[in-house]
Amino acid sequence: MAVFIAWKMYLISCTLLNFRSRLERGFLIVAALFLCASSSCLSPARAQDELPLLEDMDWPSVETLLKADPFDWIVLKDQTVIVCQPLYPHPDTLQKMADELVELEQARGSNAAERADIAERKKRLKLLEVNLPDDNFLDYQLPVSQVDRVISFEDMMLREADALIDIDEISQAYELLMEVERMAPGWKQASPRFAKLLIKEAEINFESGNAFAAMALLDELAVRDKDSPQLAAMFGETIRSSVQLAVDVEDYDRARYFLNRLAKHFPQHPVIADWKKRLQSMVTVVFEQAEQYAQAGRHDDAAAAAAAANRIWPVNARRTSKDAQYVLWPMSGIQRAAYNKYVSRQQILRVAVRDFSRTDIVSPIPLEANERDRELTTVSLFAPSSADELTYFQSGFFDEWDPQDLGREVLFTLKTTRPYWQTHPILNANQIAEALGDQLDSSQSTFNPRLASFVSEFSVRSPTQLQIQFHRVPLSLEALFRFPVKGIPEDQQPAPKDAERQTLSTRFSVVEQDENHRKYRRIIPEPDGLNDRQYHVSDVEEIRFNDRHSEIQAFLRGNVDVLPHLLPWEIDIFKESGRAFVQQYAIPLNHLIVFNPSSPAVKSAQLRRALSVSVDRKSLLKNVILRDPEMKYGRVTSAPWHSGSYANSPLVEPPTYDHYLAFILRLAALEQLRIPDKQKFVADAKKKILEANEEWDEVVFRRDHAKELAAAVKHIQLPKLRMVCDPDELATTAAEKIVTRWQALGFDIELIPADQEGEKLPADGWDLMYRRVRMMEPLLDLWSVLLSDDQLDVNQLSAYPDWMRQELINLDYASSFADAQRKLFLIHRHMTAQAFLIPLWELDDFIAFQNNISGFEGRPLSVYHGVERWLVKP
Amino acid sequence: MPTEDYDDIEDDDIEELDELDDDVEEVDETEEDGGDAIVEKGRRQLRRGRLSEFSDKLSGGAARPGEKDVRKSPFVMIMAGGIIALTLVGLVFFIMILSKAEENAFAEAEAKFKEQSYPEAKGRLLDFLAAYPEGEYTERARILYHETKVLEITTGTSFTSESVSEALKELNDFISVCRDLEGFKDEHDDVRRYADRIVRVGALTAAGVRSRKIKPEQQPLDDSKTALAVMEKYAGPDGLPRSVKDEIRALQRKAQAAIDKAKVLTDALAEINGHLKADDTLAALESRQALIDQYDSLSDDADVAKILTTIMEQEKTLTKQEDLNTDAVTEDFPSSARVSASLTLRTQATVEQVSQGKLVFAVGLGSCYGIDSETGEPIWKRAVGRNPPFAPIAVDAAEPSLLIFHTDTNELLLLSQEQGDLLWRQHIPSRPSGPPLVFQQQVYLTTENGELWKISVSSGKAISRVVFNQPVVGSPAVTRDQKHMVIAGDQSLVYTLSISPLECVAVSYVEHRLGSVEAPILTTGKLMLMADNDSAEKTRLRVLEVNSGSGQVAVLASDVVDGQVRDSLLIRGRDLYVPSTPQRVTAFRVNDEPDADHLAKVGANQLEDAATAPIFLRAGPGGQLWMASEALRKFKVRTNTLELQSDSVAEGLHLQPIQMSDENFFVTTNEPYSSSIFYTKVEPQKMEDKWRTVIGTNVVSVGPAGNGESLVAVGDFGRVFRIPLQKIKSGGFIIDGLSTYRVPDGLEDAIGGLTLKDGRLAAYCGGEEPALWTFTTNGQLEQRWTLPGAPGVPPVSLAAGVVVAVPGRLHLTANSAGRVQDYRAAQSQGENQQASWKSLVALNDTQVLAINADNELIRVEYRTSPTHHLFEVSRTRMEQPVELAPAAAGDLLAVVTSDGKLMALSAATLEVLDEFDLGGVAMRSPFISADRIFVEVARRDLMVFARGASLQDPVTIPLNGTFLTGPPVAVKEGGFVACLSDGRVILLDADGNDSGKNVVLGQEAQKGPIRVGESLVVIGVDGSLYSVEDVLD
Repeated sequence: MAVFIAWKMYLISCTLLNFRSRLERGFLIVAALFLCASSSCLSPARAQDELPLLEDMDWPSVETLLKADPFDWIVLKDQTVIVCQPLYPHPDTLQKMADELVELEQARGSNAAERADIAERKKRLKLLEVNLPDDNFLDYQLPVSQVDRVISFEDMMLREADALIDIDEISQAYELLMEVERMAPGWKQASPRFAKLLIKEAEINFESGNAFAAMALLDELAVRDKDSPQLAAMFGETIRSSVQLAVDVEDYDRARYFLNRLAKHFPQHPVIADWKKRLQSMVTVVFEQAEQYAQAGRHDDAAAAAAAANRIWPVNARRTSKDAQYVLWPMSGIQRAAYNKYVSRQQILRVAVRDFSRTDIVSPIPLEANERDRELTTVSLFAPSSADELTYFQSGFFDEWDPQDLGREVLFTLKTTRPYWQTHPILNANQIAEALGDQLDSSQSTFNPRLASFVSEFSVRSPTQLQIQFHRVPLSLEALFRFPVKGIPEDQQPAPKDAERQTLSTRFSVVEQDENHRKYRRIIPEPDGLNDRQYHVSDVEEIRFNDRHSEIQAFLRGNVDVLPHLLPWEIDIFKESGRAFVQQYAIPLNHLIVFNPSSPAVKSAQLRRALSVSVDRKSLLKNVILRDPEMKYGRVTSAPWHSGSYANSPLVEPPTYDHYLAFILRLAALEQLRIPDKQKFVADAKKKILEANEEWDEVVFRRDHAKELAAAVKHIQLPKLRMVCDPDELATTAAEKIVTRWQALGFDIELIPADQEGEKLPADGWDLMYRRVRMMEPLLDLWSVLLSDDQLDVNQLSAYPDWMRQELINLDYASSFADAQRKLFLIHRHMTAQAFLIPLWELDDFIAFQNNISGFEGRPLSVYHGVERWLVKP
Repeated sequence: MPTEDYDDIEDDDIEELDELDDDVEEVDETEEDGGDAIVEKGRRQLRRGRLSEFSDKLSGGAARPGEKDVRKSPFVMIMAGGIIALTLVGLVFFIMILSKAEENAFAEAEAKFKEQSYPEAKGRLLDFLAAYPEGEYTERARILYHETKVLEITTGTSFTSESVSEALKELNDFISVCRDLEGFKDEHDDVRRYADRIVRVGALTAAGVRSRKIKPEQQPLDDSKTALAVMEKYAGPDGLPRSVKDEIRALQRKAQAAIDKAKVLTDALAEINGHLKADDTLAALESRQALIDQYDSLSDDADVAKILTTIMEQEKTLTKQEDLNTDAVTEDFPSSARVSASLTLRTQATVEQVSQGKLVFAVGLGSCYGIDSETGEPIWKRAVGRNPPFAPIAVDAAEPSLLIFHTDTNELLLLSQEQGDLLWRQHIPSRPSGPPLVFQQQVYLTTENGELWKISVSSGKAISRVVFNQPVVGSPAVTRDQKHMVIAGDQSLVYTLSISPLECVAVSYVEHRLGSVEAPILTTGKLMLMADNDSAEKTRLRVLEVNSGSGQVAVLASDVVDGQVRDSLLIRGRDLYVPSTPQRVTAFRVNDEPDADHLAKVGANQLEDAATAPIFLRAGPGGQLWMASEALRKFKVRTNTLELQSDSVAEGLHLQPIQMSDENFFVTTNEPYSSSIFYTKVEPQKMEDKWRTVIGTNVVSVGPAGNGESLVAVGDFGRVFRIPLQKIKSGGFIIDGLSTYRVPDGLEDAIGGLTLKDGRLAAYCGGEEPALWTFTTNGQLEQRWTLPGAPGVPPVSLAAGVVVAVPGRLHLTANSAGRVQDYRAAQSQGENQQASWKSLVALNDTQVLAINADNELIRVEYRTSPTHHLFEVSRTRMEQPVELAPAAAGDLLAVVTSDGKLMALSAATLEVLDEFDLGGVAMRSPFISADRIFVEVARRDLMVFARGASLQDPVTIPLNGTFLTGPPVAVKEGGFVACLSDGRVILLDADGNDSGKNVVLGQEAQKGPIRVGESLVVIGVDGSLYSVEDVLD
C-alpha cells in the first residue's frame, strides 16, 4: 500500500503538480518515501495488505447503493480491485476513453499546439485518473493497460437491480434504476433493466388481476422502448386476457378500449386482428338474432340486439369518434342499415333524473318526479301546447270544440282517426261522458267541485259528438277540462258499478323498473312498415343519478339523451359547447313559499309578512341560485305566476328585503299571540281590585305592572314552523339559506325535505313549503297553489279572510279576459300585501338534448312535452 | 180703454208737486222765526216766496195803524183760519174715505182674479183703473188686468189657431206694458208659465186635433216657437230644465211632423198604395223611405208606421211557399266514367306524413278533390264546374258525405266522402248565393234569384222552397230557440221563416240599401247580427232581436266598424270577429243579456298596405284568430287589442274558407302569376305548411315528348311533367313533377308558354326578372334566358330561337348562335314613346311579322351576316284594324280584322288575295290546320274555310258560346278533331262539317287536342289529361 501511495504521489508530482526542477522532484521523492515509511509505520497491517481480489469483494447492498457516496471498482489485470471515487468519464469509463483515443488517433491537429494537445491528451487517455475514497486531495494515475475493467457504481446498482427484479423486489429495483437514471440519464445499460423492470412489474400486476396497471407499465415501456423484446408479447397477452375478461362480462366498450390501447403501439398486433375477427363474428350473430326478432315483431328485442351489436362493434360515427382512434371498425353498409332499422323502430330515450315518482314520501303535493310520471302515463282531455301571456291548449281527443250560444254550450267533436305517432287511444263520446259524470258526481273521489259549478248538463249525440251545457260560461274552457279520462275499459264491460276506474287516456306505461332505471313504453306502438325516419321515441328510460356530476358526465359520455333541467350556470356552457340542443321552457319556473291554509301557526299576517320581508331575494338569487351578477336567467318576482303572464300586475312590486321590519313584524306577531293572556291577566287584576272596592285605572295598572304583565306572558312564543322543501338542489340550497336567516331573526323553523320517506304529511303536519311552480293558467291554477291541493274545494278557502275568499271565487265568474285580468291584478295586490304566499324568483328553465335527438318542441312546456314525436337518431 | 190712458204721467204735475214741497219748507221756516226784528223781517221779505206773498195778501202786508182793513183784523183772520182749518180737516177725512174705496175696489177685482173669474175680473180691473188711474193699486191692477187677459185665453179647454195667436199677443202686451212696472219682476215666473202654456197649446194645436177636425197648421207652431223664446227669456238664470226642453221639442217636432205629414203624406201614401197595388213592395218601401228621408220626423209617425206594416204584410204574402217534393237523381253523369290522369303535384315538408285514411276536400279548377289529410295525396276527384258558389261541406247522411254544387249543370250534389261517388243530385235552377245551411238533416240553400230551398240530406228530395220577392243574402240564421230562421233581403227587409213548415211568418223592416248587406246574418245567442255597408268607409253592425212569438225583427243596438263587410262574420263563444275591407278584423265581445252592452269592442287590426281581397276567418281557443286573405295570418286577442303575429304562411290569394281537421288547417290559394290552384296543409300553432298539392294545373305549354310515347306539359307554377300515354289512358294522379324552373319571387305577371319550332317547350314571364325557360323534348330544364323586358304579346318561335316583343323592339332569344342584335322600332321621344305591339306571327323559319299599335305589319328577318341580327324587311300599313294575331301557314297569312273580315294575304308580299265578311267580329286568332282555316266568330260560329287564295263558301258550325281550345288536328282518316272549351271533342269531316261524333270530357277543356304518337290528348280545365282518339271510332 505504501508503495502504491508513493507511486501515486510520484504520479501527482509528475502530472498534476508538474514540478520541473530537480530539487522539487527530489523533494517529492523524499516526501513520498517519507510518506511510505510513515504509512508503514502508522499502519503496519494495512501496509502489508494486498489489493483484494474481485471475487473477494463484497458487493454493496441496496442500502449502500442508495445511501452511500458513489464509488467505482477498478479491476486490475490481476483481478484485484481498487475502490475509488467515481471515475471520469462515467459510466463506461474505459470504453469512453478508448473511444476518445481512437478518435484522437485519427486527429492530426492543424498546428503544433493542437498536435501537442492531442499528444498530451492521448498520453493522458492511457492513464486512468483515480481518487481514492475519502481522499479528495490526491489523484492517482493508473495505466489503462493495467486495468481489466471498471465496475462503476451504476453497474453495481444495475447488478443489484437485476437481482432484485429477479426476486420480484420491484420497488427497490425501481428505486435503484431511478437512481441510475438520475446519475446517468439515458445510459443505455439502464434501459434493458428498466424494460425488464416494467415487464416484470406488469407481469406481477397482470397476474394479480390489475390489468390496467400492467397496461400502464407496458404503455410506459412502449414509450421508452417500443422494441423492447418482451414488450409486444407481454402487451398482447395482457390485452388478450383483458379483452377476454371484458367480453365475458359483455363490456365491449372496455374490450375495444383495450384493443385500442394495444393498437396505439402495435397496430398490427395479432391480438387485435384476432379479436376484431371474433367481435365481428359476434356482431354478425347478434344482427342475425335481431333480424329474427324483427321478423317476429319483437321490435324491442331487435332494437336491444342491435344496440348490443353496436356495443360490440360500433356502427355510428358519433360513438366511435372519440374512442376509435387507432382501431378502425369497418361496418358493412348492410349492418349499418340493419342497425338503423332496428334502433329506429324502437327508439329509446334516456333521461337523467334524480328521483323517480314515489308515493312513500312526506310531500303533501306531487313533486316533479310525480309530474313527470303523470305526464307520461296519463293524457288529459286538454293539454298545454304553447304559451306567451296566455297558455294555449290542444286536445288529442277532440277534433273541434266550438262554443255555441255565446259559450253556453259546447259541441265536442271527437277524433275518429289519430296520427300514427300518437300513442294514446281514440276514445268515444260515451267514455268521455262517463268520466265527466264521475267528475260531476260528488260521491266519487274524482269529484271536481269547480267543474261541477260550471257544467249544467251534458249529452252524447253520437259516438263522436258530446254536447255540454254550462250554468255559466267558462272563460278558459280548455283549462277547465284538464283531466284524464277514467273508466272501465270496453273489454271489461259490463262491470259492477263500483268497479275501479282505470285511466283510459294513457300514452306510456312502466314496463321495467329497478333501483336506478325505469322504462316507460308506448301504450300503442307505431305501426310496422314505415320508413325508418318516420318512427319516433318508443321507450322513455329514466336513469337515476345521485348527483349532478354523474348526470353531466353521463350526458357528455352519451349515456343519457336528455337533461331535463340545466342549472343556471350550466346554460351558457352547454349552449357554447355545441354538444347539445339547449331549449328554453316556454314558462319560467317560479320559486315560492306557500303557507298551509290549514295551519294555525301561519294565520298571522304579521308573521307571514315578517317571513316575507326577511328574505333577501336579490342577493340569494344573484349569489346562490344564479351565481351570476347580471342575473341573466332569473329575476325576482312578486307572484306565483311568471312575470310575462297576463295575470301579472305591473303595479305590484316584489317584497322588499327589510331585516329591521321583519324583526318588528315578528315582534308584532308575537305580541299578537300574547294579547289574550295579557287581557286575562289584566281582567283578573281588575276583578280583584274591584272586589276590594279600590279604584281601578287600567292605564295606571298597566304602567305600574308592566314587568309582571310581561313575565306572565313570557312563556308564550311563536310556534315552531315546519317548512317542507322541494328536493331540487337549488331549492334546497335556497331554503337552507332562508331558514338560516329566519332563525337569526328568532323564528324556530324545521326544514323537512319533501322527498323524505314516510307517510304523506297530514294537513296539520306542515306550515309552509318551498315550491317550484310552473303555472299554466292563473285563472284556474291559483287556487291549487294557494291551497296546495288540487281538489279545488271552496270550503278550503275558509282559512282566508272573507274578502280574499270572495275575490278567489269571483275569478271563476270572470266574464271576459279583461275582467279576469282585472280580478287577478286585484288578487295579486292583496296577495302580496297580506303575504298569502312568499314569492321568491323565477328562473328561466332549460332542457338539454343530445344532438341526435330531434322533433322536440322549440319552447317546451314540460319535460315530456310532445315526446311522442321526438326522434332518437341512431 | 186705450192703454195710453194709464200710462201717461205728465211731467208738469210732478214739477208742481216738487215746488209745493219747497214752499212748505219755507213756511215752516217762517213760523219758527215769528216776532223778529223789522230789519230781519224786511230781509226775509226780500226773499219771500209765493207763500209769503200769499200771507201778505191775507194780512194786507205791512200797513200803517188805522189803515188796517177789518177783514184783515186778527180776529177775522183767526176765525177765517179756523174755518179753513176745519175745512182742511174735513178735506182730510174726505180723502181718507176716498182712499178706502180704492182699496176695496181693487180687492174686489183681485178676488175675482183669484176666483179665476177672468171676464169679471177683467171688467172690474178695467173699472178700477179707470177710477183710480193713479191710485195706490194701479200698477198691481194693471198687471192683473193683463194677466187676466192672458189667462182668460190660455186656461181654456179648446184652442184654435187664432186663440193661440191671441194668447201670444196678450202675453206680449202684458210684457210690453208691464215690464217697467215695479211689480213685474215678481211676475216673471207667471210669464214663463203663461208662455209654457202657449208653447204647449200652440204645439198641440199645430199638430191638429182630430176629434175637432182641426187640421195641422203652421201658425200655432210658429206661435209656440215664439212663446218658447219668451219662456226661455223668463226662465231665470238656470234656464229651462232639460226635461222640459225635450218635452217641448218633442211636442213641436210632433207638430212639425203633423204639419209635414199633412203637407206630403197624402201624396206619398197614394204613391205607396199604388206600388202596393202593383205588388211592388220594394218600390213602396222606397217611396216610404224617400218620405222619411225628406221628413225625418215622419219616421215615427203612426200613419207611416201603419203603411209600413201594410207593406210588410203584403211582402209576407208575396213571399210564396211552394211544396216541391222533387226527387233527386241518383244516376251519375255519363261522362264521369271517362278516365283521365290529373296533374296534381304534391310537395311535402317533412317525412312524417302517413295516411290515416282521413280525407279533406277542396275544389280546384273545375273539380272537387278528396285528398288524404296526412299525405296530401289526391284519392279521388270529380268534375263540378268552375267557380263554385261554396266550398264542399261535409254532412252526415247515411254515410259521411259531401255537399257540392255543380256549376256546369246547376245541380246540388251529394257525394260520398270515401270515393266521391254520386249519392244524389238535385237540379237547382239558379246559382246559390252562399253556402247552404245544414240543419236537422235538411239542406237550406239560398239562390241568387231569391229562393230558399229545403232539401233532404238523406234522399236529396227537394221538399219545398220559399220564393222571396227579392234576392236574399247568404244562408239563413237559426234563432236560438230553433223555431225560426232569419234571412236578410237584398234590400230593406229581413224575413223570418218558420222552420217547420218552411214558410215566411214575418217580414221586418230593417233599413238597408240595395246590396249593402253582403254577409249573412249571424246568430249571437239570443240576438242576431247584421252587417250593413251603409257607406263606403263604414259598416253598421246592427244587433237584431227576434220576437219569438211573431218572428218580428227589431233593431236593438248598433255599432260601427271601419271598412266594408263582405265576408262572413265569425263568432266563437262570446268573441265576435268582423272581417272588413281591406283585410281588417275587428273583435267584439258579445253579450245578449237585456241590460248589457250588446257589443263591446275589443280591438281592430288592419294589415299594412292591404288590398281588398276575400277574407276567411277561423277562431281558436285563447283568443287566437287566423285570417286567410292574401296569406294565412294569425292574430291574438289581448285585453283591448288584436295583435298580429309576425309569421305568415300559405302566401297567395285565398279562395275558400279555412278547413280544419285534426287541429290542422287546409287552405286553397292561388298565386298572382298562376291560374293553378294550390291546396295547403298548415299547422296553425306553428304556422308551418306540411304539404301542398296542386288541385288545378294550368298548363302553359304542352307537346309530345321526344320518344312520342309521353306528353310533356309545363305548368305555370314552375314544374314540368312528363306523362306516359299509358298513364293517361289508365288514369290516376301525377303527384311528382319531372323538373323545376324557379319562378321569380314576387312575380305578379302571368306565366306564359309556347312550343318551339323543333318541338321543344318553353315558358316565359315578365315582371322584374323577365325570363324565358326552354325545356328539352324530354321535359328537362334546358336553360333560363334572361329577357330585356316583359313580353308584351305572346312570343313566337323561329328556327333560330324565340322572338320576344318588348316595348320598342323585338328580341331574339333562346338561340344557340349567341347574342343577336335586337330589332329596334322607330322611337319618337323617350322610353314612354316606344312602339307597342299588338301581335307577332312567325311567317317561316326566319321571318316574323309584327303588328304594331299603328296597325303596321312589320316583317323582320333573322340574319346572320354581318352579325346576328334582326332586320326589318318591310313595313306595310293595313287599312283595316287588326287586333288579333294572324295565322300563317306556308305562303298564306290569314288575318281577321276588327271590322269582321277574314283576309287572305300572301305571306311573301302581304298582298291581299281575298277577303270574306264574317258577319261578326272574330274574338280569337284564326287557326290554320292542314288545308283549312278555322275562324271563331263571336263565340257563335266556327267558320271553316278552304286554305287558298279564295275565301268563299265556308262551313259553319255553331259554337254556342264555346271556343276552340287549340287548333283542330287533322287526322289521317281525313277530317279534323277539334276540342271545344265546354269539354266536347268533336270530329269534323275533311271540309270542316261536324260529323256528329263527339266525346264529352265531363268538364271544361283548357288545351288540345295534342297529337302524341298515335293518340290525341286533351287537357281538361283542372289539368287532367284525356285520351280522346276514341272520337274517331
